[in-house]
Amino acid sequence: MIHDIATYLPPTVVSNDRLAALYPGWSADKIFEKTGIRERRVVAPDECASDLAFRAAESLFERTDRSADFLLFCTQSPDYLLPTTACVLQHRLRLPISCAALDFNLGCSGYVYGLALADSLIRSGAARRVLLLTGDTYSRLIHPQDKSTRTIFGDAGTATLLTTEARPRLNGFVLGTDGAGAQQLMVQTGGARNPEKVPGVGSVDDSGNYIDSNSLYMNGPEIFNFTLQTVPKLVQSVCNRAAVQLRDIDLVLFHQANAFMLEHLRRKLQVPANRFVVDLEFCGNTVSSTIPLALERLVRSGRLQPKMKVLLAGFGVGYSWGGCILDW
Amino acid sequence: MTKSEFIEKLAVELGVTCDQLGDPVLLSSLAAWDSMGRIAVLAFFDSEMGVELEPGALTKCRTVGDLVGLASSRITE
Repeated sequence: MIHDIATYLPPTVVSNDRLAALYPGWSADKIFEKTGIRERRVVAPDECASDLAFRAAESLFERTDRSADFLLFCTQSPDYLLPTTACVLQHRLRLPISCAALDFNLGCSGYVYGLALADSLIRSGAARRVLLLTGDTYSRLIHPQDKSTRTIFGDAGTATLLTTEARPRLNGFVLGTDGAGAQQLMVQTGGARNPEKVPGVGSVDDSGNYIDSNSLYMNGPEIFNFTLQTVPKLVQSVCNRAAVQLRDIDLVLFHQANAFMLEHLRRKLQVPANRFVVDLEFCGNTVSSTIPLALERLVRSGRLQPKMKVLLAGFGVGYSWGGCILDW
Repeated sequence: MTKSEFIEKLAVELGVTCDQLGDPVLLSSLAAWDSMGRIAVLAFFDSEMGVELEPGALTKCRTVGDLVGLASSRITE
């Protein structure tokens, strides 16, 4: 089903050294110790999430036919309120006008949701060749003085081509939502609910982070608590649905939120370290792009081999979560 | 786990000494009680105590005594 994956990281690097210079009391080593991240990439001032996805797709089309009959774009950073950015991308990518195009607005769970959508479209016969793009520019939403988010998030774009080929195969999809957690990771202004930015109403929290309604707000502890309660159940549900045991999974690949959370989940699920993917050191948390970025590197490094079973799970903003098994 | 064992382990997570964690001590007075400190405490509750906390439960805690209260089902005096 997954035919190919390509990714793109913008060239501008924000290193821990650069961030440590901004935050008194934080060294580059301390940032790495807390997050597992040494570098993150950020877009240029005139660059949008769609540009990142576009570049990833162009890389993909250098090694496969430039065609798709369905384009899905997962982003929380659309070019415009309307039209759908996927329509703009269809034109930029010179895809046929017979290609359907659709944005969907999800973050951390977005890639797994995208795989579920693509898989469903193909199984139903509505599509034969789905181009699933991800792209986000959280760097544009983050306040410079909010080190809790600025140290974690990075920008990226990815392109995954899914076709009617039998393998790699997707199965065991489990998806879920709890909107009670909506306010724990949020940008309050700029949408229809609160269209106007509110100037000068920020405050400094007890961690020294500047927070305001115009910037990305993240309640790290509450989100961590959510993952502790949700992810183990998600993993079990996916395994049950796919009729496999966790011990039969060759690689566990979660959304790469931060290294502390990942290590805690690994220990909680008793997954051996050599079967658990941690790959965010040089790109940070790139939202819906973390899983495809890691997948592409697993393929390129040779760590992911044919016939391996990979458990994918994305979880976070919404709250939203999704998991599946990838039979490579 | 006894209460004193709980306080000992909590002290390690927060980088303080046990005598700095009396019940009335305000959590906001502890330097380590920031976002990452709270995450470390959540991880401690999860891995060491096997306690799942309701959303917002940790946010409502104001004192060390409140934390002890959250762990009360796993603590023997």
